[in-house]
Amino acid sequence: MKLVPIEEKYNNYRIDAMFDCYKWDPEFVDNNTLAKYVLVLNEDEYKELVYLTEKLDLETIQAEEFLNNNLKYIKKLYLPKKLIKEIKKMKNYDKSKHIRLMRYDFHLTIDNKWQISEVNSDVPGGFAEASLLPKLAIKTLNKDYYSIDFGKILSNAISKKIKKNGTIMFVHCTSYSDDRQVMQYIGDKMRSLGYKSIYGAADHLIFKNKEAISILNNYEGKVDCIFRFTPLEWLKDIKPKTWSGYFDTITPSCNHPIAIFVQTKRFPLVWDILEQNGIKMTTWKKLLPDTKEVKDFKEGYIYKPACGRVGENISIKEACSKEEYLKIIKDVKRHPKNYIAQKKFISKPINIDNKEYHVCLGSYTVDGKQAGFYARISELPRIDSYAADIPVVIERAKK
Amino acid sequence: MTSKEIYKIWAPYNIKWSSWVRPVPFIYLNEKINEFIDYTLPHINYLNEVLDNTAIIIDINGIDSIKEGIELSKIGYRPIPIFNGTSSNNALSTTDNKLIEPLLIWGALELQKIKLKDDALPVFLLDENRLNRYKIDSSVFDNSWDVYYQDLPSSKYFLNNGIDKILVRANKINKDLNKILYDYQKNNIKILFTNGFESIKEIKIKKIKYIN
Repeated sequence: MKLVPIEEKYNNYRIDAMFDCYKWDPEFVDNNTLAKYVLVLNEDEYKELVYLTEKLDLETIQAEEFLNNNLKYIKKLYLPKKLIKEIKKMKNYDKSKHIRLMRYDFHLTIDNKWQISEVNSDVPGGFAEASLLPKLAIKTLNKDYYSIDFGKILSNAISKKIKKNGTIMFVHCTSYSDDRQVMQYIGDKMRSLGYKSIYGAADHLIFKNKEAISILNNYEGKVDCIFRFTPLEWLKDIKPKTWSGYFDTITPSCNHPIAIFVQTKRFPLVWDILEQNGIKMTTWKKLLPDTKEVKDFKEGYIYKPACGRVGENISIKEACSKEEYLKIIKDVKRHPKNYIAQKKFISKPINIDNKEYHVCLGSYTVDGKQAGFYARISELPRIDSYAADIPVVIERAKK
Repeated sequence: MTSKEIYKIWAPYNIKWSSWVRPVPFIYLNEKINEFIDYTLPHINYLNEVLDNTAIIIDINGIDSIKEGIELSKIGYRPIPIFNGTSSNNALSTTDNKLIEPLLIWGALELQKIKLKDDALPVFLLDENRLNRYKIDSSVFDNSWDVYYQDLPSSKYFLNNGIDKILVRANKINKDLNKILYDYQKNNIKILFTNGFESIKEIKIKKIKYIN
């Protein structure tokens, strides 16, 4: 794994990324969120990541289906009460009807081993960055690299399950342009395949006879697929409660709310139960650092919020301000069940231009198959909203 | 001009502050200038020269915000549009984020005529209509939006670049902006205010709880 600089072509590359690759959020406070480098994997690294990702995904899918059928075991997940009532409706879940999309976040450690920090099981993002940006980078660098087209794989998976010319609602938080950029990319992609893409909020869907119906002004009618980018833990706070139907709808969904079981960082706390029931978690155990209840916190561990996203509120001391660190610790004490304690791994940075960059390499799966990469880099070991998006390309093995 | 070319005029390469120009309203710009808009530049009553060490945030309706930004560019400020609203694709919506688009095209043409210094102080442009959230019923598309701390430079960046005062030109301090200004004030940046007619005065920003 290495970084290759874009150098003098960077200014045009940044503009092209914004206008042609849906990168609408290029600045976060004082940070440029589009890296000046390209992340290059060799083919051995690529193959290893594909292998590990698909093994993880197989275990994940088995685990979530088992938990869905055995809700008596989910107590330790400490899911929000409002969701538990709805989860009980998911008995009719049939994975062959829905599109299952996940992203596993890999990190290279100082032992030259891969570890994962989490799976984005519910609403992973970064679609255009994983599809168009690598192509732009290859064109800019003019090198013989190749990339995996995540958008093509995802859109093909949707096409297999949704009737031709069907209507897809891209459900997102409509006030956020950074959500819209993700939806707009995949919506445009589906439109190019002959589908009708509509963009709405979670409460623009109602459910009749378990089928999703759009009530969005000018786009009323039956919906053939729900593509959801509104996280489940936000859905539960929408009033009036129109969101209940998402849990037992027969309208194909990406993702179905079954994603909740592994989205929570407390998922490892039920692994013992899973294994006692014949679900092997071997790959997860190998790749995810040891995870405990907060009360069992030990030296060398960090706190992570159970419902955390984009690396926020993780207590990596050297990556937080003192104020932020103390705030996290205070919240952990007040709400210990909303957090987990996890053994800290030491990320191996890549050195370039007299700087060190830590890499978080997200590896997608779509319906069980590896489907491409989305990566971010940061000079700090915690990869959060301040990190920069970086395209991932693969270098052909020398013959 | 293409939308990329228009963006590049507002956000020239490697020029201080230009990396904060949000691309969102530029992405789908229609090239045509709207002839039915009054492009008359306003008279600026509250200042007639660049204020030392002072950045400006204009938070009035988007069309006037751009016009005032262009007028301020004539006395040496660099206008930085940070509009961040999306379109409703013809669904009835809470906010019309497209109203500013012809002004961005017109503004680019105006900016081409003005020679700005590379280190010109910034005037950030906001649209107070972003906060229109009223939904007559649940079928309406809510494309209102907030400005967040991540959309503007940090107080540390301002201070390191010699800016220790921020002048807010608005009808009132909107709640989302209040939160950002409070943090600036906490970090020793003075907040000044004008409604555009009255003279500039220093104000104290109070902490308010605000959840959108």
